[in-house]
Amino acid sequence: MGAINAILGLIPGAGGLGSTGAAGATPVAGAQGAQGAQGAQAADGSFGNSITNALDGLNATQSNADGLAVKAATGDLTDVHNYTIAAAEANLATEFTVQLRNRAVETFNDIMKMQI
Amino acid sequence: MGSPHSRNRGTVEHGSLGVGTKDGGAAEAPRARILAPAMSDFAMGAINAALDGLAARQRITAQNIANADTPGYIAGRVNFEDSLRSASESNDFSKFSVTANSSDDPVNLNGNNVAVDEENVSMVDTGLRFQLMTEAMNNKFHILKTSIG
Amino acid sequence: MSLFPIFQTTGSGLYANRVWMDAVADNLANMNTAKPFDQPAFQARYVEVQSVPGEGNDPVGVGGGVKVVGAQFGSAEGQLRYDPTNPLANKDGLVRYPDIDLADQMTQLIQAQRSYQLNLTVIDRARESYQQAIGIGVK
Repeated sequence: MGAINAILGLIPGAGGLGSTGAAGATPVAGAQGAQGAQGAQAADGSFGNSITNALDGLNATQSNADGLAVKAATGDLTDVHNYTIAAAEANLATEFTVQLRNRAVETFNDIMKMQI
Repeated sequence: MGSPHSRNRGTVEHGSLGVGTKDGGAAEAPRARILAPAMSDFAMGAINAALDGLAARQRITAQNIANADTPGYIAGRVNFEDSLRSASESNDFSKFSVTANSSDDPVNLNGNNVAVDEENVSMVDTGLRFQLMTEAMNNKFHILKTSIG
Repeated sequence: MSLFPIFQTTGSGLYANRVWMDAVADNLANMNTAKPFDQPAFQARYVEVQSVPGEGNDPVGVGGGVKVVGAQFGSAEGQLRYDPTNPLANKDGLVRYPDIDLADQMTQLIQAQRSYQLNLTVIDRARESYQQAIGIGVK
């Protein structure tokens, strides 16, 4: 549970996936174990909103890494690890967001297949 | 010693490596970017340009070390950082170029001015920067691949 | 400021120690260079270095290496030797030899060589560390 919040921490706008009770969020949380009480609530609690925020944050993380990569290319970067860590963060955040999307789509499909 | 070429300091050619020209200091034609524009972004352009420049610097350094004992040989230097900096400020990599110049370090008795230790240090430095840039490019492609799913 | 500033620092150390070795080699090569009585003797050359201040934004104030600023010279008087068969000898048979101590020069040579190797070791270690930093986050 700490891991997910740690990863969400990498994505500035995302906050943590709290116990929002939104349909999409549950399988993700379930897959990784119960969410901790300290998981911050997404802005208005809706899953769509938290995804949008996550994407914005992901974008910010990626452009941070990109900026450092350009600085490394011109030789103006002073500490190599600043870039490599930012790049690792961007990689992880991207992978996490893609997982999130995949699970959300999966869940949506499951709901659509539900017998009524 | 005794190598037949580059006996006079005026005839050193750094252009044979595709960086710079005979008179040293002239820029090579801007290279076409290999990446398809749809896939590459600004950072990838910068990384690609840096890889070009670093590869040229490695070739020049290798040539300098090979000619460490050639009488009259003047070491070559590669600069691409200034060009890359202004290219990334104006966001236009078509103006990016790698330039080769002759070193103005003092020459020793046989008219040669290669310092093998400094060339080796440059080799380590350039090698590490190349490694970092390839790693950066790998990261960019990895992110693209992940996003595609 | 460059991406791997340590290479400039150790590079300056390599250069300074190489110049030092060059100076010792020149001193040793001229150990027996005689001069006529009325001319100054060959003067041993001692390399003078200074530390380079670091670049502004370094919080610890680590310097930027070492810089060769010039040379100091040994005695111009040298040693007068009685050597009447030497073509350079004056009418009293005196010739001027440089005042260079072999043991001192050899000690300097060893010092210069060791610090040169030391700088090479630093480069090796720095490269290892940087390589690990580059490898952060690599699967």
